Amino acid sequence: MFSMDKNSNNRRNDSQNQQQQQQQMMSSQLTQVIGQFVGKLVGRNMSLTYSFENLEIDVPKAQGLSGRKLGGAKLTINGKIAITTEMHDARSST
Amino acid sequence: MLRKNHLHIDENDMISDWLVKSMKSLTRGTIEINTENQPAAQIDIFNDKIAINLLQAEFFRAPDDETGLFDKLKTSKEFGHKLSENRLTLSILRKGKEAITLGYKAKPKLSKLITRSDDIQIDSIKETTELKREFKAD
Repeated sequence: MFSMDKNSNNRRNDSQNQQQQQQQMMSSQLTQVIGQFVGKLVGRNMSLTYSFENLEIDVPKAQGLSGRKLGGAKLTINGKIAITTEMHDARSST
Repeated sequence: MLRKNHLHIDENDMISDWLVKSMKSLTRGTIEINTENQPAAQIDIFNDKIAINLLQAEFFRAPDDETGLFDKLKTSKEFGHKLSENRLTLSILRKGKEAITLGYKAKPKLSKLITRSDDIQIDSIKETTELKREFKAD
């Protein structure tokens, strides 16, 4: 009786571990995809310009630390951000 | 089972939740991305619809990715479903022509046979194939 309980507990633990591992793989896959995309947008050895035209962002109300209420906001962004990056060989500078 | 060339997202995945919430907080406007003074992409946001117009799809190519980001997105049933749940629509265009629609306003007919999802609509097989080719590594 005791060993049957122990076996079923082990099986349950194994299946939970498998589920956790699968979830981690899925998350890391999405992180990888987002990372690739952001990596492209930040750029290497290139110049990138982001132009914002009446971009409205609704910041929702939220509850902060110790239950403090944080008010929402509406932001409007207009303008340009230019990013220029250069790659340097760290070995040659030493 | 997890397949290498599909983007599978768990229902409770925190990153996709954050991504969808961020998309939801953008209510309207336009973002243009230029690289070396050439337009690479334009993002238009209006009424819970985000349209990403890829003007230089090759720019977003990942050199070490055999599948390509677009192919992963095209097969992401879970991401399309998450967008629908939040009444969001993501439309991907290639040089101004609609290629694929994911989320709430996706109404797949024949393309359901390919994607097996109610949340992914292939608007143009031609543009989708071109994007797939441009996104893939050489």
